[in-house]
Amino acid sequence: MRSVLDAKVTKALATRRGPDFVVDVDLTFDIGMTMIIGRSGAGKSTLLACIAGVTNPDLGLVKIGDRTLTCTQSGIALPMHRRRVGFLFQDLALFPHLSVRENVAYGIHGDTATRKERTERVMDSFGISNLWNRRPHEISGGEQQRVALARTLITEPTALLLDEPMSSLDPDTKSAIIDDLRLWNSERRLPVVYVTHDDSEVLAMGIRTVTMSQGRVVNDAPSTNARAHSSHNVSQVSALVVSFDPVTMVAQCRLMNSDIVIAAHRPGSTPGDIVTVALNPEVSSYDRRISHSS
Amino acid sequence: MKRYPSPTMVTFGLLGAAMLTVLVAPVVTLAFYLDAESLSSLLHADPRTVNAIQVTVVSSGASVAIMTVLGVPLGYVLARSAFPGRGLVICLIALPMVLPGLAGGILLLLTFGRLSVIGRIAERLGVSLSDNFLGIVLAQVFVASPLVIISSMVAFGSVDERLEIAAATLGDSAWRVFWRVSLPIARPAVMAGIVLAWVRALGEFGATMIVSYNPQTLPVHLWVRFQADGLSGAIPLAFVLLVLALGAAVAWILLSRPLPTNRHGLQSARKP
Repeated sequence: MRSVLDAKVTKALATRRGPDFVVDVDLTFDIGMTMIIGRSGAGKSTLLACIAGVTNPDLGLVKIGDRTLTCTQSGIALPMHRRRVGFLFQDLALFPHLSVRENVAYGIHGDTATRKERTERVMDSFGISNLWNRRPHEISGGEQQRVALARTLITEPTALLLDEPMSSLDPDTKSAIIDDLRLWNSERRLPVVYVTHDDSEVLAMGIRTVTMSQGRVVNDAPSTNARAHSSHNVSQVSALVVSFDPVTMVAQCRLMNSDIVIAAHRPGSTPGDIVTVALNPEVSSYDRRISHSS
Repeated sequence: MKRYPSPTMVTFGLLGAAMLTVLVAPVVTLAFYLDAESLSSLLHADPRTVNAIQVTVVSSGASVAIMTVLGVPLGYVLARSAFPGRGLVICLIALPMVLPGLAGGILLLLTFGRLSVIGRIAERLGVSLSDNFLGIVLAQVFVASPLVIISSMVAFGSVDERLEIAAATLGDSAWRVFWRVSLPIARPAVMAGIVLAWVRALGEFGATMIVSYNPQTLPVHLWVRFQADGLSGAIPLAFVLLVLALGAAVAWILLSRPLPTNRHGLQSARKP
């Protein structure tokens, strides 16, 4: 049985000018995907680093089910390699000196036959079997993404952290990979924390979305009814930003040649900006997100 | 369409050619002065020369082993940790590289010689740190190890730290991460430092002569022969040293080929 991830983290970060920047978050990540959005410097990556054990919080408790990973009060700080938390970086961090097969098999142990069989199975499920002996620099960005995901998931982590892993991919590749990830997670049922600042990903996923600003959670929106739908049919339309709330970082965007206004998380928006909004046509109701302008 | 080199390239090319002339001319000149017969007889008949070659090769090999085992970990620590006085430590490490060999030898004699505290303790334990093979190794390690340490520090410093974090999240301890990720990626630059240190140890003269005149290494023997027989005695030995150095230069080029990098210069090699 899989367990939820609890992260109660306080971490002060020194800044060059002015007072320390404090990340102070108390979140529970259920099984399934949770998006964390917020502008650069909101504290998203620091939160992931505290969960993965890359850094230790000044104060806090991180646990997955009954298993405590960090507890500052009792001095527990499991090292990264004992946490069983998968971490996917923005630049993927594929090992350049190893082939695709060796990258995927990196985290598994056991006899050669078992490792080979498991690696083949996972590579098959992510559609990368044809890349077996290629090096990371010889494959496309989407393929690298799949290799990194396969490498992380083959170790059967108890939670998965994704730090803007698809920021450089085109929408189609991104959608296909998100579907792969969903399919995988429908069987494994892990808490997955997905950090992004890309609105199209947020809308396509249609899941619980946490907005962070200046180290704190400023909005925690529950999942929408878009969750059950495929993300393949996401379409993108241009829109005009008519207003922006700097606290929640929600912009009201009016679709071009239409009177439909969509509320979208767009950090740094300014009224008058022309932006791209992603829509999932399969979702019949955007009742929480769409209103008609007056 | 044929492209002509720009005036900048022509100017730089001429300057570079002048530099190359200074570097290559002595090597070419040596070939003109080399007498094959005297070289052959020297190597076959003179036991002092053969002994000097043996001492040089074995002592530089031992020095390289010590420098690698002690210097590479130090380079890793300096690359991966921040502590007060780190800059000062790096300065101290680089000091033997810029210190004249003879001055380095005097420092070593003061620290490890028979009259020093460490030297006397070692003598009591039945080990002498000067005027023997050990003294040669000590001098070579002193002058050449900064090359290993600093090249390792730079090599490990350029390994994207996220690769190490990724390996740790995949279940590897810091020890395994070092052997499976950090070292293989840093290997070309680390190897380059080791080969350069070997060459430096091979040609070490000043500190070795002060700390341990005997048994004679090839550079010391070269000096002795030059004093006794002039150029005719020294040229064959210079050629032997040149051949060894050439071998090291080839090894340096072969071993220091870099890994493929991505557009950011990171080794994680993600394609855009």
